[in-house]
Amino acid sequence: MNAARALSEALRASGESVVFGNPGTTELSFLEGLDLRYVLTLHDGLAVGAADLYSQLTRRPAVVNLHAAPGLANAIGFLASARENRAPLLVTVGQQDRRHWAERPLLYSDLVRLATPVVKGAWEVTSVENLPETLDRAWQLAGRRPYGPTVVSLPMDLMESPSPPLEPFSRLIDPPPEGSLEEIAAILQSSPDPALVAGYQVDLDRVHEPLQDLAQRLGAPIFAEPLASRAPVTSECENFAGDLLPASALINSALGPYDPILLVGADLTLYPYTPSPLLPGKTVLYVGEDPDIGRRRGRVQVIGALGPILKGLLERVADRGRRFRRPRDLSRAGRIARVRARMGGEFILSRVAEFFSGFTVLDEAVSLTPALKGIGFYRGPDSYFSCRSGQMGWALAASVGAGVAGRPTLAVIGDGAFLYGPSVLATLAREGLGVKILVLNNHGYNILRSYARAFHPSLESWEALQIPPVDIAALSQAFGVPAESVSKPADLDPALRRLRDRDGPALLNVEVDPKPTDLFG
Amino acid sequence: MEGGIDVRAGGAVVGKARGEEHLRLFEGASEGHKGPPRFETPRDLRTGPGEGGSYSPIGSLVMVAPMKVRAVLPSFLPVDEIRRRVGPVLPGLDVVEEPLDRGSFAPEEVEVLILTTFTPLPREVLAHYPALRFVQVASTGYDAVDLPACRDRRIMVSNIPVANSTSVAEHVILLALSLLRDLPRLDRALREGQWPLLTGGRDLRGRVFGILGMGRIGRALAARLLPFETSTIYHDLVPLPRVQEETLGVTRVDWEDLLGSSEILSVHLPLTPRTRGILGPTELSRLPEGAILINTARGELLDMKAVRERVSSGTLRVALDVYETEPPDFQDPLFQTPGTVFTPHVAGVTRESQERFVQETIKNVLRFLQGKEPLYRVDIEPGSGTGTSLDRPGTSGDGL
Repeated sequence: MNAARALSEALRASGESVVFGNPGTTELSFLEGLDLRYVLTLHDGLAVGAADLYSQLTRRPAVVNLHAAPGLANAIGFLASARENRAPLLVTVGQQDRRHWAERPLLYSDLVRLATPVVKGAWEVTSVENLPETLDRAWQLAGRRPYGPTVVSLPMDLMESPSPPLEPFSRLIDPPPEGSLEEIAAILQSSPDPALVAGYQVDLDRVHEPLQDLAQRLGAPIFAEPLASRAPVTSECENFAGDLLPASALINSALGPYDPILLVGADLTLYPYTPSPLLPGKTVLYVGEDPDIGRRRGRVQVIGALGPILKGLLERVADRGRRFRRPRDLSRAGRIARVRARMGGEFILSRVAEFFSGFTVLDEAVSLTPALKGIGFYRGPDSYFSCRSGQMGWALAASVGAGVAGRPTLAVIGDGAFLYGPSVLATLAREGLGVKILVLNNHGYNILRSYARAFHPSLESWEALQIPPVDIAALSQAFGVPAESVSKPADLDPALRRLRDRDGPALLNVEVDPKPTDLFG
Repeated sequence: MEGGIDVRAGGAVVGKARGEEHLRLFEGASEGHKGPPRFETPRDLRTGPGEGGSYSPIGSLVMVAPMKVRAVLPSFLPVDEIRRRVGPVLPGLDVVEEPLDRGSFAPEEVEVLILTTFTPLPREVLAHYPALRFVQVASTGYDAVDLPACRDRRIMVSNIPVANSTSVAEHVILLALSLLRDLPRLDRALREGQWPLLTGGRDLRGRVFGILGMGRIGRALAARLLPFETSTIYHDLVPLPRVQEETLGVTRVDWEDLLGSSEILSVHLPLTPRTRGILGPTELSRLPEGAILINTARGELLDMKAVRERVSSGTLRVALDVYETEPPDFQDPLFQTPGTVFTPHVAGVTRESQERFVQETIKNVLRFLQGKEPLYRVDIEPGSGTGTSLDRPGTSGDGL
């Protein structure tokens, strides 16, 4: 048995069944021994993006195989996103043959140094003897909370070397919470106006219900963390008070009436800069998996998985007999009606919500994300994903991972983000993944135009913020994914129904109102 | 839909179940007919195009059957002018001023009667019209007509719900803005030589505007509120179709939410035994502090004693176009109370709406005379008794 075969068997024995990748010559020795499903993407980064969402859905490390220095470099953006997304990835990278490293051959580079800034850990295996320990360490680190990607460089000749069978990787077990639940419970119980800020980890740990129970006992609102990348609460939860916006002044404004603030698996991501210090004078508490957030944000913190933490808090917090109920948004129907004729985003998304109720939504229609979240796409565990890093082109790649995981999935993508990686469509078609792609096409980078309107008005109409005309439906069909395009309100419902009901992957390009919305005004 | 009636469609649309009741009640109805009961129309005299052919009421005068048609108008209308205008279109039409029994031919001969909402048609008066087959109310409201009596006599009744809905809707917005911007007080102040600089004026934009009864007027109002960027909510027994809600930008809410949320509440119900006094002390107390209540429908929909109490306490403002008795008692202290504005039942009265009433009335009577099913049929079937299926607090429709 060679090392490649031993690695393949160890991966399988550890529960892996899929490898995402884009191969090169340096990977063929590894791939020759591979006995797992290989999902080909047509760009290295797209493989990481696909594995990113797959791992978030399966909640265990996903395996990626990249091609040497160029492939790893191509994928750096996606790796950085995976780190931000807390996606557990075991990324293997083919390295040049050890025997002529000194000659600095083609494709050779210091892969560990290249990867280190954007991953949790990176190693190079230099001998077969080190292979089990290095792989197990990488696996463990990727799958230890908070999750993230790790990189292992595998020299092409080493994969062909004789190797004994490898043990399956060690089981991943969440440690018990560390910190004083009693102290946090006492602060909450004794404070007249607490508020909860819920984050990605609520969805990761599937604790929407106990979170809601805690909020109801406290009579407290639940805010979603700024730029929430997973559904941190269900939209219909009556304690849900809306998404925080990522500027400190706006966070202070929204949370002003409340104290203490309990961050539940959440962070307070900021952008753009505003000169207000964050939550001055407030008691901020943190419960969640990330000691770094806890250190930065929490006066008191309990570190761990949220299931046992919320259970512990519910055991210690009594019902205070108060109720918080979010006011109903009575202006929404009017807002939608006013933009209907010009195909405004809120109108389109309100129709999408009706047709795709059981779907996981991947959101990369950035300028319409606030509208999308406002419509109510937080529908429980694994119902909503976006990219925490701000990267463009993530959602389309991620749709492959969702499809491989077998989730009914709708990717809602702006035309700008779509055009970063349309070759994903070839993977969807080849793999027969029934992912639905909805392109909200405003022919521009409207998030930029909106930002420019607020801070750099002279650039709002700059031609570099407009996207040249592209026939996206035709492009999709060229990749083998059936597609159509609509531009009129009356045509929308039938087209959405066809998109939903078609077997296999499909794309709908919707011409939306090109006017930027005031997101930063 | 409970009751099987939808006054939004105009007069009434009768559901299948109710239609079948009628088929049993009225012998000779067309077999298999699923719509409203087919009263006898003068088919035997019809000389116009058959069913399915094109139909132009105004352009087919020579085909009008020689029936006895009487229009009874209140004296404050320009009867001579109407007579002059309508005469060439409906030859032989007998246009008279009230009372009902005046005219060039005897009541016993009248087969078609055209009335406005101002002329009552009780059972005892109907008895003087043994040949009557069709009553055309040239108004939106038809509560002056004894519908059970018409049902017993198999007399068809239509109203004209399409003529003044936009006029009323505009008037409602006028009244809302008047109170929001304190127009009566400011107007009075200037006439008294004052120059008030501070007001408590509020924008219409952003207000929660409740509509009680989503008939034609309610919908016309909602459409006109859309550009004002109000949060428009409505309560009606029958929800609008989704696309219509989406187009009008309205949200259907239950009775409690309508009362609890409406900063402005405009009433658009027909007056029936079930809707009489529908806004009483309990309901008015649920409106938000300082809410504006607008009534352009029927005075009797409000419990005026409760209204006076709320307005005098400063917790409610009212804009009234209609009154329990008209003209009202001008000694009513309400007229001296701040936070009020009044108009004399003219919300639907504009030159344009009156022209539409005349046009639509003529067209509909012509339809009947030519053996066509008249439009805007009022449901007078057994069980409704009132011409509506309205139930409290679930309600439906227009009233004016």
